[in-house]
Amino acid sequence: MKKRQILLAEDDAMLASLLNYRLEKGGYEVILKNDGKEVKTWLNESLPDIIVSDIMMPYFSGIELVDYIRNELKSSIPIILISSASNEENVLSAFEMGANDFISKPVSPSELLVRVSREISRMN
Amino acid sequence: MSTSLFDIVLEYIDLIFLLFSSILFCLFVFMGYFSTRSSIHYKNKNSFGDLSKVMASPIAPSITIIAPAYNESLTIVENIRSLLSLKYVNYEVMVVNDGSKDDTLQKMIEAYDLIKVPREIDPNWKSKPIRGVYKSKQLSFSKLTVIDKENGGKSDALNTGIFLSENRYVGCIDVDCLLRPDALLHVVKSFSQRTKKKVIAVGGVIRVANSCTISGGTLEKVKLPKNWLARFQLLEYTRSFLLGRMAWGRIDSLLIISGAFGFFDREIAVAIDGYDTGTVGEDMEMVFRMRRYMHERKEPYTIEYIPDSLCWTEVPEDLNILVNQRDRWARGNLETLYKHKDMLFNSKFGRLGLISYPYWFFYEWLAPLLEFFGFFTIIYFWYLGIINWSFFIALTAAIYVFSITFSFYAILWDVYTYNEYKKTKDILLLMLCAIIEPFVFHPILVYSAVRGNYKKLFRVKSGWGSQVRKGFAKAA
Amino acid sequence: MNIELPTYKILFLVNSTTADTSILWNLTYLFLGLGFLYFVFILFIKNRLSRKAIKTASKRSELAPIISNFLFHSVEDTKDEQKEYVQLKIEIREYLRDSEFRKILSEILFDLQKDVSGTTEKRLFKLYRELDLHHDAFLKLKSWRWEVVSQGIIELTQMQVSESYQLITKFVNDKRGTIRKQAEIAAIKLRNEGIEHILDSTRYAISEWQQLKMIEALVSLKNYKPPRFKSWLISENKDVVLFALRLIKHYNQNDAVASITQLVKHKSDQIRLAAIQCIKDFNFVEAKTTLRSVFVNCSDEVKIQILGAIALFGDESDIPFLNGIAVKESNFLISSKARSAINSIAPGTVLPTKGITKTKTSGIELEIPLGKKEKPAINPTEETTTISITDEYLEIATRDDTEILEIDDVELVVEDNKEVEKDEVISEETSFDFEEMDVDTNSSIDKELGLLASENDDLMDKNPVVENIEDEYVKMDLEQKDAYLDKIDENIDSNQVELLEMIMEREDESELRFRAFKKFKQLKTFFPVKGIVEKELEQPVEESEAESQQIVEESLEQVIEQQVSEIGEEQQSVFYQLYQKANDLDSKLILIEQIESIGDEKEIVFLKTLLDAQNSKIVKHAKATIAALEKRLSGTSKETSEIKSIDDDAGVALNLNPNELDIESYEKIESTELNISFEIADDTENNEEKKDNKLPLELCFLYDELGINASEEKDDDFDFELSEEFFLNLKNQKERYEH
Repeated sequence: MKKRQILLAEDDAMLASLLNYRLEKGGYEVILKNDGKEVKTWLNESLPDIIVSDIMMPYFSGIELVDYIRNELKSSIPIILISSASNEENVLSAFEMGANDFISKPVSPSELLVRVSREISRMN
Repeated sequence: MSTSLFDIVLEYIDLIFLLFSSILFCLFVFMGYFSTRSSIHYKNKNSFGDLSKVMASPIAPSITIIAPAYNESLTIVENIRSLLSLKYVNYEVMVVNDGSKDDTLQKMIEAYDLIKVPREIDPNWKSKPIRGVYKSKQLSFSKLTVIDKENGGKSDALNTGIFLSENRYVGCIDVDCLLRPDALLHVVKSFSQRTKKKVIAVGGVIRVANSCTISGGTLEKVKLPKNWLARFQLLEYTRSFLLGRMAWGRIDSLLIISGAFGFFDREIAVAIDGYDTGTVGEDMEMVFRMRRYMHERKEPYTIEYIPDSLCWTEVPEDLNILVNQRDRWARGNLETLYKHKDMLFNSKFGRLGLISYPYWFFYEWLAPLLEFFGFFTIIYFWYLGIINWSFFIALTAAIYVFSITFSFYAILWDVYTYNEYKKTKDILLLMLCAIIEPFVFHPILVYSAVRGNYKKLFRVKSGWGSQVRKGFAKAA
Repeated sequence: MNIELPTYKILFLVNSTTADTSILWNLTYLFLGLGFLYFVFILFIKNRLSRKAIKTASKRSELAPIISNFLFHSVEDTKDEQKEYVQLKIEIREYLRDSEFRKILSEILFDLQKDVSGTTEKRLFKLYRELDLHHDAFLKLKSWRWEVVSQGIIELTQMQVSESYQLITKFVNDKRGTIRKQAEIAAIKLRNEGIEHILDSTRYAISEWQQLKMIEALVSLKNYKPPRFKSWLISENKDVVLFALRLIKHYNQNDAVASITQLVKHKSDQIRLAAIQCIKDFNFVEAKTTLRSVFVNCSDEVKIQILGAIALFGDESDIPFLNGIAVKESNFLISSKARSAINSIAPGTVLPTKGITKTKTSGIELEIPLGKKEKPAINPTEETTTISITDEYLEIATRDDTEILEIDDVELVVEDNKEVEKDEVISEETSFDFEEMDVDTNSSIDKELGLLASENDDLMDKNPVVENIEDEYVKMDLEQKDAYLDKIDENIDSNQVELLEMIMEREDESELRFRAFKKFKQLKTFFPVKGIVEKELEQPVEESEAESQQIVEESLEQVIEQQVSEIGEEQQSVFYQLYQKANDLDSKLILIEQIESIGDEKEIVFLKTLLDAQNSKIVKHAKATIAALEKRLSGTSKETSEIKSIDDDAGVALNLNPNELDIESYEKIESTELNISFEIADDTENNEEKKDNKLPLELCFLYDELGINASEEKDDDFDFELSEEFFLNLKNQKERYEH
């Protein structure tokens, strides 16, 4: 079976690599992007199966990303956001824009893995 | 006979100026020293400890942020949104609509779903009458209170907020300035980390926000202003806040807290009846009275100063506005110093009377006047042909180089401590500013100060005062 | 401190032929040199900073995969992976000899620790030790520089190196403040008994900020059982007493009446205030006499707090005392507090006389409508009708230590007035005089909306009208459309629902489409409730209501589907999310109480997980709630119908159906406005308007705190907070009848 593709957008290199490692180990193909601009360019090329994105990112925040995907690309691929504890308001507006789920920092990588697989199974 | 009298006058002028400059020299050196010590200590102390966690504690002290608004209809909604998104649990944003002539109030009511709420007002109310107190119907804006009152000026609006607030601390800010999200945490920390002295007020750095990228009420990217006038002011602010106030804070003699970012213990602020509505230098005057009050009660107290870049504001880029602003500061300065003239060299007030007040008197108020006077004397003497040219040039060079050195030192500290301007090009530009400042920017300041003093002393009405944006910072 | 130098000192050269010019030139050279030196420094530091940033970044990306490998290594990995793991381990041993490398590695681990949780975090701690990085931190403790020692303490705490506890507690009485503070926090975080050690042994003052930090540290502990803090109330250290009081309050330990009462007499105002706060929180009626006796000699702030406490649990016998204060006290705040205290003990004692501006105190204001029983509608201007509700808002928003008093005031007033209110509202319903009402607003809105036909007609024959509106809408330009959407806010009926759907489908302008969607979402939560209740009176509407309800339910199904969690059964509970968000004990307890009335099986699972909570109070509450819930659920079907009938009778429908609540709560988590669940449906109105009909969930809880728990009001009475809606509804009703 073809591996599911995850687009991981996270600006903190360390955390990104950690999550990347865990998700790959969980059997996914991970495309790692460090900022919003890169994500946008990538999305114009092809769409992954699921997107995991930090809310606070340079150039293009997670919320803008959700908005972009839902309203510009008109795609309904699942989006999971990673938020810092302090920006609850952002999370709410992200949900309003159409984000599917969120996980707050500090992140438990295993939990993220479970959430990803849940979103994917729901998609089918 | 007339020549001998002239000689005696000259001798005296000579002596006074020699003394004046020598003291100034020493003062600046000390200032550099104290601020250096202070910055290093601060940096060490605050390099650890995560501030963000305390914000959730329900017993955290309460703060009211008071933002007076007058004809701000264009920006008010965004500004409030930014104030409402600060990281702190126990705070209230109180916007005082000071009888705006435009639709400021209407804009707020619409944007935040406000309704009038009942509020009992003290029958002996001292400020201008209140037309109504508004709260939002939406819980997400529950931190917002809007007060609509008759026009009475900035001080009166701030007083209204101070009297109506029921929180432990009040913060007086300009509604158009941008606070970093953790600003209140820093403030509360400063208020509550002392055990021996009561902290009656907390002041902070004002940073220049011109040309910075601001989106969604937060500062996204710090950039050097594109406008030269703003760049000069940036340099001036850096020197003043990073070296000057840091040094004054170190010896606990801080006399001024910017009107754009000042926090007070409400109990004390109420006890001294808030701001004086009769002066244009209300922010400085209030600190004078608070200090006086505490001195008279003989309680140990202090005023804290936070060097972190918490408050960002736009400085005037237009020459006329700048001159008017500085003119007003000069008047405020004069008014305050005159009102508290009994403090001069009065040992009863400790360092306040022996160091701070004299400094303000001689070096903040008198200096520009002397400079102005000196400039014309030079021309006159040149006309008379009695100038010793080699000495003149040597002295001018020494002082000019000293001023550049001092500016460089300020820039050095800025880079070392906060490093807000990441590009090397920006720093080089700032240093260029320091080199040309004495010829370009400084004369403007001297002119404004002289004009302000002239107006105040000869009671010239300043009819255009209301046109000008309310001053946001005292850089001096 | 502007540099005013360059021009004015020029003067003193004027006649000074005696001064030596060469000194000045030397000075000039000196400053020139210094200036140049600074110039070099600036560039050097700038350079170093950016170089360092680049270097760390590259090291990070280099080390990141290695650390990830270490953290997620497990014995079940494939052989190749095992091999790689061992290889890396050997490699890193080599690098670790370099102290610079160790420093960077530790930094990375510290940063990472802030971002991860769960098992990964535990593995991180283990890794930190396995790499022997904690030895460096131990070395730091021996430094003579305070900032280095503090740094060491922080590192050890962050990585949970518990054997450092003994070493660190030695610093609790260090004479250098920063070290002391860090050591205190570390002691708390490293061992559960750390706080006791500090309270016992500290000789220094503890600043308020530090106390906050320490409480924060305590909260972050898992499985923490707090000791009885009353034993430290007798400490000689003033700050320890204060801290103990705060901890007692924080952990709700209400077993120290005598000591706390005694502390009201303490010479420190801070301690007095904290003690009174506890007395208020725990309702120590016994302390009343002490409070009254110390009153005279207190500062204004303490006086206000004392009055607040008396207002809370005072009785008739306190009235003379309060009256004395109200009359004699010169400070306005205090005398007004005394008056409001009297009113909360015996409502209606002090009536407004003079000095009353257009806004009045809550206690007094409430009396006015009650006095005029015959004219219940009281001229429904904004001002009068909004009072009850807005007052609440005011209190909530400004709530702090002092303000709890305010809320308490309201509570008492409300309870006392309930009786009267009940009768009154019912009489209003029956003998209402419609002629007095003001209809201008609504009819003008209707006019603008093209609803010139009377509403009764609409109801009989709604489809043409809908079409009419739709036509109208299509003809509008952008601005009008925008304004129109605004109006829908205020003027909601089922026609609009259809229109909104139309807009969502056909509108080209995405902004408007989005707005319509938002409005639609708001309506969704609003109509189901209304549907149930309105059957009684409004037969013609029924159909459309039912329809819209169906639409709403259909679209909601998706939402539910999305939200039903697969992670853990307990997390399926709505309350799981809310509970996680609640940050203090009180709100958690209130949440648990709420479960009792509206929860279902999912909540039981969730509650069971709470039985392991560290706080005994939570455990107790959770147990009781489970029992109650199980009992209730056994008779669910009966209960539901009962509730429904109650709703119909009372005209107040609190949304009690568990499924519906789930939907709504989920819905709300998505939408920015946290308005939930407290729907007021009235049997008379069709044109229900304005968002404020929906009270936010938080408010609901607050009402609970205030004792205005609507879920318990099954006996036909109107909550007095609802009066605003009531008046507005009457307005609509009247309008309809006129047509």
